[in-house]
Amino acid sequence: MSVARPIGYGVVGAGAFARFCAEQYRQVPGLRQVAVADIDPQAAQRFAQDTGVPAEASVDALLANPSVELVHLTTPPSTHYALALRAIVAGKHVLCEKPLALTEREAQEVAHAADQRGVRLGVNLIMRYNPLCAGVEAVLDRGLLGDPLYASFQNLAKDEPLGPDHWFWNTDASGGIFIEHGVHFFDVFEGWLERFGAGRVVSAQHGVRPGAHPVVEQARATARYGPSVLADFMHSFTQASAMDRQSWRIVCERGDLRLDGWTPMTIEADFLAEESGAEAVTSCFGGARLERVQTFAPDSEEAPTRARFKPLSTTGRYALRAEALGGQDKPAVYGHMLAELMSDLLAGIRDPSHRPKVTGANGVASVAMAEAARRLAETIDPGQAPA
Amino acid sequence: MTALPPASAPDSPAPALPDPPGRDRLPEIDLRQTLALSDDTGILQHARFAAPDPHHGYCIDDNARALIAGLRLGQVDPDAGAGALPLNRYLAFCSYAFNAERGVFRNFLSYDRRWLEEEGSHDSQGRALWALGMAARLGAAPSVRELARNLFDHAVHTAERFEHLRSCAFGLLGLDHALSVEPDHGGWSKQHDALAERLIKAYHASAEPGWRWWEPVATYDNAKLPHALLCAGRRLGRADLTDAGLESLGWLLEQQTRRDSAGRPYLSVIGNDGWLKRGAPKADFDQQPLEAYALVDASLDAARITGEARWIDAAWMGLSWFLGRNDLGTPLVDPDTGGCRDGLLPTGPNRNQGAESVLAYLLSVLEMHRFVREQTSGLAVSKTHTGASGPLMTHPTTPEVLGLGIAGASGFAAFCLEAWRPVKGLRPVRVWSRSAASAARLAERFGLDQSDSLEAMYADPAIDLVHVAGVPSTHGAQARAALEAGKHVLVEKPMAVEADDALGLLDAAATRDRVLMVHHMMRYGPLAEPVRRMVASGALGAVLRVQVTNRAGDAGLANGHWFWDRSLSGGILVEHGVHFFDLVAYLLDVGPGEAVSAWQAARPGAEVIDQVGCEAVYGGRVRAGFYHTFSQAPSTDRQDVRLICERGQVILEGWVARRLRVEAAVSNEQLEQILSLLPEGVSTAPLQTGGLPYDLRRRGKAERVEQAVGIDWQDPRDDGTVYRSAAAGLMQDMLQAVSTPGHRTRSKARQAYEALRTALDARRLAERPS
Repeated sequence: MSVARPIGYGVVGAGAFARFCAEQYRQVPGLRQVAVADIDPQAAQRFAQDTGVPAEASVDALLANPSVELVHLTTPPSTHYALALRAIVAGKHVLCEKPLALTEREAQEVAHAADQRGVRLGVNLIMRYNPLCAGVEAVLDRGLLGDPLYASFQNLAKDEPLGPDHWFWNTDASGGIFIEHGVHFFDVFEGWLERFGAGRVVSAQHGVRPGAHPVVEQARATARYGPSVLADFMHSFTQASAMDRQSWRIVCERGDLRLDGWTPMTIEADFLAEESGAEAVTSCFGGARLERVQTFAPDSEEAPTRARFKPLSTTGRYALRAEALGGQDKPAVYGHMLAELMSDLLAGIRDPSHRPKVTGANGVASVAMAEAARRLAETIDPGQAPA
Repeated sequence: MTALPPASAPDSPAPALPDPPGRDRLPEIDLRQTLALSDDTGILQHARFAAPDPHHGYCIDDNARALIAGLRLGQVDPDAGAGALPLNRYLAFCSYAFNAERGVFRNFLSYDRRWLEEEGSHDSQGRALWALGMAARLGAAPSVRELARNLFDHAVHTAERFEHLRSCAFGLLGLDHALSVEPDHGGWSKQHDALAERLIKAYHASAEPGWRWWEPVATYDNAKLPHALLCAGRRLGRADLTDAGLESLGWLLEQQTRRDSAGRPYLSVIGNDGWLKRGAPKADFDQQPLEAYALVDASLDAARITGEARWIDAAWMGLSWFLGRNDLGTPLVDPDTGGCRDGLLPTGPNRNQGAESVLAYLLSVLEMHRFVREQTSGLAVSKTHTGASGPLMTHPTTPEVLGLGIAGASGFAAFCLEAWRPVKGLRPVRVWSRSAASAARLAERFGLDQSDSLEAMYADPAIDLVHVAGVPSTHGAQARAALEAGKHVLVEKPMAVEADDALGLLDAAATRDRVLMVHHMMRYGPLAEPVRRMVASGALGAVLRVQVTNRAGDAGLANGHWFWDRSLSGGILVEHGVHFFDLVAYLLDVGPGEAVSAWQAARPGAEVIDQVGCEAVYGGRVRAGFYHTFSQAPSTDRQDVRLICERGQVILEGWVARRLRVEAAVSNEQLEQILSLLPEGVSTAPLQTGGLPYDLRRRGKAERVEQAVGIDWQDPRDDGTVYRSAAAGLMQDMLQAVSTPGHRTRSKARQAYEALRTALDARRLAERPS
């Protein structure tokens, strides 16, 4: 690939996540890290010393720096809306950390402003760049397991690093669990399921931590995509770091897909298929291992013949297992996803006809679902701690 | 039975207690806890819960009782063989306890096998003589009889020095046995007569109308006093001793007899917190198993001597006390161990199962079995006393085998009949179904009569219990009619499709005093109780959330099946959801679930709902999410129940769960506790090794994390076997409820009703236009 003039990258928010990104973006061709700014100038200075990226004295100074073409916002969620608008007004392309804003209205405003100004807006909703998530989308798109019925994401998240004063718990700063965290999963589920009908949140609840710090520590929602597909989202920020677990499940007419990990690291599938169908599923996941665990003779009584009032032709039951990027570790997979999203965004910046996988529209849609869930949880079930 | 005046009423009205078990429903002889408490030294005195507690070591009192149990077992079940109880070990303990220098027995031996005294209490000397006298007579092997006789003979002189009447009574009983072997032994005879004289004199000195007792207070092991006098009277042919024994035993029984709300007598043992003092009401608690056993044992000898049926009733009353016919309506017997809890406290049974209590129950059961054996071989009742008419052991209670009628010849009814084959005490008799052809098939397969009408089946006196197994919309009415016909009822879930109908069933069961159960068999799976106990232990911290994912097959559910017709099935949340609403209620034990939100999804191209979900809150605090679909091909259906806890998670897999996984960040002690509650054979694997141990500060608490571990267990049996075993477990529980007063079933109709309420609320929410 011929690399054109590198695009100047400036980051606002000199926290740990920005450092991790700076590391990953070193590998991205066509990107030049030119500036960092933070509300705390000393933090920007430390970042500069550690990474070699020059520090700006303020956000305004960074936005005024003509060598900065793309601004990455890694600040807390409540700042995204105003900072994104400022960057857009300054004529910068923007990569915003999720969520794009705390409300759908504000997110729309940002997306609209970017369109008006003619700059690219990206949102760091990286899940769609996970190779296993992409494989799931291919399976669903091609109907290889029949129609999907149900998808769920069960997030037993660590709260060990989140002390009572962390901004995460402060709804004004974070937007709450659905908005701060849930958008990732609303976005990726939409990518999988919207082809079966528009998604709508039909139920949502909060769970409040008992005791001296009554924060919302659990949030769950159910969405329905079209008339027939249900999806559950459950986030429980309650676990010790060692117990941090995420499991995903997509149930289809012919079997299920199970993913493991916040950033999915493994996938397992258990399904009924004919041999060609099984091979097609395998082709969706690089390096997948397929095993036929049961063989149905053509006229055997064991062979499942119907499900959901429909005939089912199958010659076997299959088990598939694949690992993201052939079994690389979590930081590597995560870094790969960040870099892929960045490359996709850069391609969009360079080529107006290129449509990145994730755009500002995803930022808006995911916040819309998250806000609907939050409102429903707050309205219907206040989630008050028991008296 | 002669009318007994009601004793003073307890503070709260006694529960309506079911009938005591009938003669052929005697509890089985269960040696497990006795064996569990026994080691290569003897039987340990105490237990913490059911586990032997070495802190208190051993005593001769319990080893003497264990020796007696071994001897009685040999009489009742000669085929059990010498190895069933380590009788020689108990005898060896008595032998080792003998302090030859002083010619007396020591009592307490510490766990490190040091004697804690040179000479035991007089009561303990007496008990040793009682057991050794019996062993000299009943030991199966000559070596046992010879050693026992030898010890007895060396120690019997101590009886002369006994200060207490109970010690004398024990000694007298021992001498009675010994003299049965050597009636001409002059020394023993002399001692026997002297003790008998002492007992009768003391009795006459104290007894008066209204107080037929030896002392101004009746304390412990009371029935042993009249018992010894009875036996002495029999041996000496002295009616004055026998009459005094009977009079006193009758009086003692009267003092401890109460009536339940149905007017039927039951035993209320003299409590040790104040005993029974002349002129004062008896202390109600704590009630000790020893008392009930003493009463059983004495009453059966009274029955042997007099031939009067009332003494058999009294013995049954004593035995029934263990089984739950008592002031609290609570069984003391622990079905998990076969042991007996250490007495009845005002708050419920003491949870420990020490030797005295365990042996008191075992000996009561053994004495009852022995009596039944004698009856059936015509040995027991002396010919001169035939006051009773008809067979003595006939008791107006539940028949020994319950006749089963099946209403609704469904596939599940067939599954149940198969599953119940190993269940004793149940005989399938008749089947009725709206489809005569289905009924005929079931009748043929299981050798049943086919009933032309439900009414005819319910009118059949051979039917005691009805399994209502048809389409859900018929459950309420059919179960109601069965209860009103006086049948016990097991109704398939859902118990009804309307809340009012379900409530009507509870009322009918209470009014007719029948057992009503709903077939929530998941509670009887191999993991339900262990997980419930794990939750209760708090070793994983509080449960924060439960997530139920139920993906069921629909292969048997063609379009047009009643399952899809909400008016017949109630819909998925009602027809099927109740299982899981109930299971979660059982596991959490914080109260019923309240549905706060629910949703559903339609099958494309068909007018059916094939997916539903619900969010509920249990006991006002624990949230639970439910998802059900009926859409899967048979081999890919899958169920799991996940409990998210503060310190990890528990995952149950399978419809009746047979696989358990736990992931936990816990202290060593918590891990040990978790493992102690799980079945044997779990595998564990560390999830993290670095950075341990450390203090986890969260939720305002600092918690020690020493292990991050994954635990895995799978029942080696296949699904079908596990399901059948769960169904059989429920039926066994139900039969016990029918036969045993106050038996608390694991699944209760009231809770099934609550699960149905949750389901009906959820259905309403799911159907609300959104």
